[in-house]
Amino acid sequence: MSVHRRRIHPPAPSSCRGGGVLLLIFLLYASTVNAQHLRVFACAIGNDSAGAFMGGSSNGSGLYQSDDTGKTWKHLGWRNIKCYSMDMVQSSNGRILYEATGLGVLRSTDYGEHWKQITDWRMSEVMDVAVNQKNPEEIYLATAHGAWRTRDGGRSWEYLNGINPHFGSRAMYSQDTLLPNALVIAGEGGIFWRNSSDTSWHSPKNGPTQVRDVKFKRIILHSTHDHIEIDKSGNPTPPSKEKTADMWIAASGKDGLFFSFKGIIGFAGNTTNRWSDTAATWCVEQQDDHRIWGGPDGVSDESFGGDVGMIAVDHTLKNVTTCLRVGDKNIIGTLDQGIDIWGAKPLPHRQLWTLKSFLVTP
Amino acid sequence: MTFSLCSAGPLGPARKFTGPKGPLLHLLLLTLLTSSVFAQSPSTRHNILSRIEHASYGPTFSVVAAKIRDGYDLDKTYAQLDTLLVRPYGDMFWMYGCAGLYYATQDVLRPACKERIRECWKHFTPYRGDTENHFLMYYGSLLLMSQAWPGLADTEWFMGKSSKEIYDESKEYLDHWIDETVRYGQTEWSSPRYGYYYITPLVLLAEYTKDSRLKHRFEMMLEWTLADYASDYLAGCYCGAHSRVSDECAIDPRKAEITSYGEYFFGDTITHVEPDIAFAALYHFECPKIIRQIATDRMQPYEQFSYKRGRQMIRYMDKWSEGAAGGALHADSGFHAPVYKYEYMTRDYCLGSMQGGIVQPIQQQSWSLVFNSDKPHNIITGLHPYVSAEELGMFFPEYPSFMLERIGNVKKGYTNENKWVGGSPYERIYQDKNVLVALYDLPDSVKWRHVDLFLPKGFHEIKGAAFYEDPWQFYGIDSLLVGVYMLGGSSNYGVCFPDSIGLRFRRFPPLSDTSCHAFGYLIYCISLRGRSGQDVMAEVGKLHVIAEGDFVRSVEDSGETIHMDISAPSQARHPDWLFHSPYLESKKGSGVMTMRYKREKRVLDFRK
Repeated sequence: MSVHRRRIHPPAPSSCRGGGVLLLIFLLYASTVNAQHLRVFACAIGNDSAGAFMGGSSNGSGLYQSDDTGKTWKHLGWRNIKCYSMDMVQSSNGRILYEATGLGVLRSTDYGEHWKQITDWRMSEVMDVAVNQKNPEEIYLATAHGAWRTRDGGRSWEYLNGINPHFGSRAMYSQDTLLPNALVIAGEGGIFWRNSSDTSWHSPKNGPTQVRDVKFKRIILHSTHDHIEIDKSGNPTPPSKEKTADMWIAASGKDGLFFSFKGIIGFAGNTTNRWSDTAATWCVEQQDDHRIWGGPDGVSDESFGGDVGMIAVDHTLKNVTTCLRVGDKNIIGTLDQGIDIWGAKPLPHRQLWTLKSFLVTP
Repeated sequence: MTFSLCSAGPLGPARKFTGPKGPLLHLLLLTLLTSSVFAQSPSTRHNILSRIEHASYGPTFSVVAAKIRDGYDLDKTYAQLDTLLVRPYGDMFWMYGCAGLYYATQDVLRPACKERIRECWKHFTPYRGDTENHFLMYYGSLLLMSQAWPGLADTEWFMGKSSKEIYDESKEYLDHWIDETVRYGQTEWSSPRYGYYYITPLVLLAEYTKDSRLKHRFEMMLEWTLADYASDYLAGCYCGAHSRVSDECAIDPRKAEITSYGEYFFGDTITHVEPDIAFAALYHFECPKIIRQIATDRMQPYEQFSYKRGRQMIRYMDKWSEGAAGGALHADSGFHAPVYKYEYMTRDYCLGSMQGGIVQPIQQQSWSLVFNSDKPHNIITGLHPYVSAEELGMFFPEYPSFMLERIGNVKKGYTNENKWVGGSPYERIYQDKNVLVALYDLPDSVKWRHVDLFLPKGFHEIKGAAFYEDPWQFYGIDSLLVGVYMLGGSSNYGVCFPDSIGLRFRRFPPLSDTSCHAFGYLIYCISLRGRSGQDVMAEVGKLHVIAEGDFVRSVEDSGETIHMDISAPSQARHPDWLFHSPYLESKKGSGVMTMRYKREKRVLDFRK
């Protein structure tokens, strides 16, 4: 397997620094997606009107659902709510949904038709919600003011002190073999984790800070080296032997993308970032050529028409559907494998924050 | 929780006011038209309601409530109400207005409208917002409406909670907010705009809450808020440093929304009428006399120290102040930066400040000199026009760099080098009575490398050569003399830009080849009341500043040396007090405020 960059259209800037809309970082192995129906959720924090920004409510924000990979969208629930993220009880096949919003967490038990606020005044600016899929009564929140947990489906909440600074961008349950089902929070202070019975958080020393997003991916590696290395052109080369690897990537708003193949703790110490620009998010494409996409953190780039903001991407999409939050252009476009950035406009006039997808049985 | 009434004055429970109920009450009110000189007299209330009814406001709940109460043009008024009940995606501003109307008119409101309002609270999804005033409006409204409709199941409310759950949660938040605020200070402190949105919901809560304990706490909280405002009040103007001030009010203080309440509660002439004052005019609450006296008696100059909290920081906790106040101040465990406010109040002017740094996004005013004048723009103020993604990311959860790109669409002035609102981490302010020093140490990387000073039109130069020749400039207006002394630098004092409302005086950092880096200005003010021009000039002639290194050390004033200690924040000379002045006292953490005026005393005790 070779490592190469792939140009997207219109051409990406020659240098990473200064920010392209998308940066194709490197190519890995492909995996397949089963035939289940893919349901995509887009979380919008506002529309593109002048006032729909920072703190206020704006009609057209909230949670959107698509069953045709972004060609058409259906709005679910409140139309004037900052929706930062969502999660689904996967065993419910799309029936039980959680929405992480500016005013707390909303739950629907009827596929998004009706919603109930399950948090109280103490919880605001909920940036992410994660359901313990092994015990859906247990839910974790990453908020701008710290982490919270419920073990009884939202009837009572516990503040999980110790994340410092408090700001949490992402909450997730680890599927890493080294830390199975541990809670992971990515935030301003870095990456934190704790097992369910722990009373405090752990964090890799000298790891990345201002982490906007962290994701985990089990990948298959087969190449000629034992380790990821960087060639003379600055491209990483994958390890030599075919094997699965638990890959973590953290997107830092300060220092770019960080990779770890040794669990979260592998972010510690001398981990080097692979992309020097600030990063908002990233994803691994599940196409034949398995690629990683990084999203810059609010970069204006004239080569893409200017005023291109943060990118929300999701790694489980069959075709990488990249939602671009485009300011003055009022466009949210799908990126069809990087071929046509200005192609479809399935969800116009929205400022997207997160994109997620789940396999459901029709 | 008690009021301690240690006064000979009439400070008993507020008199019951029978709100207007149509033409019959009109007649009653007319008979009372000349019966009181206080703003809350029946005649004044009637006058306000009448003016609001006939004003050309767009449909607002408070105006509609006043019209329905008075039976004014009912068909048209109910049509206006309809327009307020059709938009299902409002926010907490919609909520408090709707709750206020519902209660104010509940005995006369058409049944169909009551049902319509009930349906709104079942199906609409008003947004909660993210600030202290938003939460007060949101949970205050929910408390009242869950009280109005008790016993409803969770399917009857937009957020899927039962009436009991809503009431309990709202009560818990409001109790929490009161306890935090009266012990550790407001986070949206001294806001000329949003003070209006504290007073209005508190007026509603104090009027209509049924639970006697809660109602009493809301009454006290309303008094607490008014007392805080009153002690910074000078002839219709909110003085001193501010959070959440608008671009317009930063250089024209009487234009602020809260002025409407100031005139209503403290004065006897109301010129600035905002629609929500109708709620206050419809209700029973009367501002205690002692608060009115605190707001209006300026015969003796006084100093006031107070403590507030900055808005909670969520990122860049170390960036709010680059050594402001000598690096002696630190955020609390909840990541609220400390705010030490200080005012020197006289009958002719109020000079007020906080210590500097950024404690509030975008809309901070760190110091001002308000002078007692009927003229517009009766203020001198200054700032470093700081602009950065870090300031926005410090307080808002959206991505910092993206916010900076988009901020121009929402807060048009934020990135403008000519703005008059905003804090700066590179600003340090010191004040002792009528002398204020503002120092700036601007790095090369900062976007705008200058500081601006606003002088309103109408000031006339009393003494001073060109700025590049003499660091002292003196100006007079009405009965005020203001001296401006340029600190730091020796060769580049700045430039002036006159415009239609005043003068912008802009200073740039000292040249890089000088040893001086920090620069700024000293403001000196003194009343001209009862002094001859000769005396004034003689006094001015004795002024000079003794500078050591980069910093001013003292000002010699007629032979008397005023020491300006800049090793510690001068505003924090009473750090253990929430309020410390001849009029207001409250020990930090105590939950008790004592108001004093001459021999009168009134205590607000929130501990019980």
